Amino acid sequence: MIDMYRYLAKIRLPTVRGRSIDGYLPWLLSLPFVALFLLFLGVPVYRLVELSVQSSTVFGNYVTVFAVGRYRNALLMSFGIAFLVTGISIILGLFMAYFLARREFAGKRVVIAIISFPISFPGILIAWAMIVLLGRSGVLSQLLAFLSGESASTFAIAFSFWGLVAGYTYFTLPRVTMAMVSSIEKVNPSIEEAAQSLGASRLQTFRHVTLPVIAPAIASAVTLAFSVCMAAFGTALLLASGVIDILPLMIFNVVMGQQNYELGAAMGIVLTIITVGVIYGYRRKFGGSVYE
Amino acid sequence: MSDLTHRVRSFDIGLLTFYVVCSFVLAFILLPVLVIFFYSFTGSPVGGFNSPTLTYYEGALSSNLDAITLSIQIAVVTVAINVLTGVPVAYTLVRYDFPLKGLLTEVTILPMAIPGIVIGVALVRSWGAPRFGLNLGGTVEILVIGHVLFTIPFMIQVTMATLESIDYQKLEESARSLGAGWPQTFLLVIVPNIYNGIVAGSIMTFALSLGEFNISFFLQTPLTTTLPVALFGSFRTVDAGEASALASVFILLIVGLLVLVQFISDEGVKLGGNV
Repeated sequence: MIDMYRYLAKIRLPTVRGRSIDGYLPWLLSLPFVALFLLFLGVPVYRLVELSVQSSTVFGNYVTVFAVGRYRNALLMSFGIAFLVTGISIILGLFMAYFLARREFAGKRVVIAIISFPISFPGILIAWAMIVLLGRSGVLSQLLAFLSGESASTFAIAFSFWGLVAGYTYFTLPRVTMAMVSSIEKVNPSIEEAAQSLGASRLQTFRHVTLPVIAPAIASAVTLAFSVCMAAFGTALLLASGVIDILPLMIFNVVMGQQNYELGAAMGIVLTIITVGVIYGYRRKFGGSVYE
Repeated sequence: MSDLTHRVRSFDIGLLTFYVVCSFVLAFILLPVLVIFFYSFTGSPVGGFNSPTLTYYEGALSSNLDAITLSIQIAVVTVAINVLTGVPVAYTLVRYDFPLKGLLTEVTILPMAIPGIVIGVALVRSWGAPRFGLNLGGTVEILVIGHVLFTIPFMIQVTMATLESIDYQKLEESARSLGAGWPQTFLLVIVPNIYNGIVAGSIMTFALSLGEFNISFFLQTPLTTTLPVALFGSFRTVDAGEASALASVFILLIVGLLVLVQFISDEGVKLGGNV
């Protein structure tokens, strides 16, 4: 070890035309990363854009995406599910996050641990979770069938629109809840106490004091939820393939089924513009990252 | 007395509603996981319950051993590349001011914003065929590249956050004034101080790499099947017991890794990639 320290101490960085190389360090240190991204993100995305404009007219594939009924409906269905799930998750998540950040109660750490652990589950695992819960032999469908006396398939919603909504909520709700908990914790509680000591009720305090302060955090959570829902693929592939057309599934069908890479590329670019647009739009408007 | 009135006051209708909502949310999150664990021992309950057995685990492990091994190998290499390329760029972005710094910062989160399916299709259409003298189509290398793209933003974010939490400028100045050169300062002063962040980022990206599906699904071949792709296959074809056993193995792996992260660093698991 000592030898290594001595060796390191001896290294003097080379100079370029008399100047220390220090000035070039930022470039040298980011070079591997920049090379990696240029080659394996820049080149592929460029290739995708190139593919997407290969048709009789330059924007022919894009016109197809917006003009042909089933493709446009897939885009609209993606928007619909993303809006619905974002709405459900934000309302539930804000309510949960407020109490988790502001109140002390027994078992709070356990609650936070349980809510945050599905965040790193891949989408297909969540689809399987919905199948064992709401599939034809799922526990909830069986339980409801037993209680109501009707057949279990009445309640088997896993492979339907509502199953997809449940699955998407499963991965969106923990994300937005945990993001909002840390934002609410950063709000100085003394401004809330001041409002309450001036006679405001808890609800009034939340509405007029807390809410305006955490509005950017809610915007961040909305952005995160919306973009994750738009981009999600694994969950839908297992639950909704051939049942509900959303844009990522349509890209999969067009690329793998029809081998129509040009049209698939155009759809992929449209989807990318939407998700990248909302995330960088948030950065422009509020600063900071939605992933923090 | 005042303590008692405080307690009575705080047990209001809002908190009661919270308990009800919270119970539903926790049940929604936990119930399916518990059912998966249960099925992994008993199989699907259609046609009556079976007595618990480990045969599903034996079946799941023996037929997916290759996928599990490959996934772990890919995750190890991915983490190594993340550390070697992500930590220097994170250090640069926190420490230096240089032209294009703003742009480079924006670019580091780009793979989080682009849908995985788009990255997958784009990689297949560009590097799936020989290009610039490199033939990566159908190799493990292209899977590693996909996983690095997916995970490196997390490594960079955790490292940057850790760097910002220490007074690196003072540390560097002291080291430099004592005669240390740049390599010495970086490796012997800065790196030991952000070691926890690097380890936490490594475990986090290891877990994310293990779970990556969307990109791998387009890059894999029958010879390079990763664990999530094998999971997908078993959900569609194998019986519920074996699929649940494989899913249980996977859940335990991920949860174990994330508990480890919690112990090492307070950069929590709130970072979640695309699903």
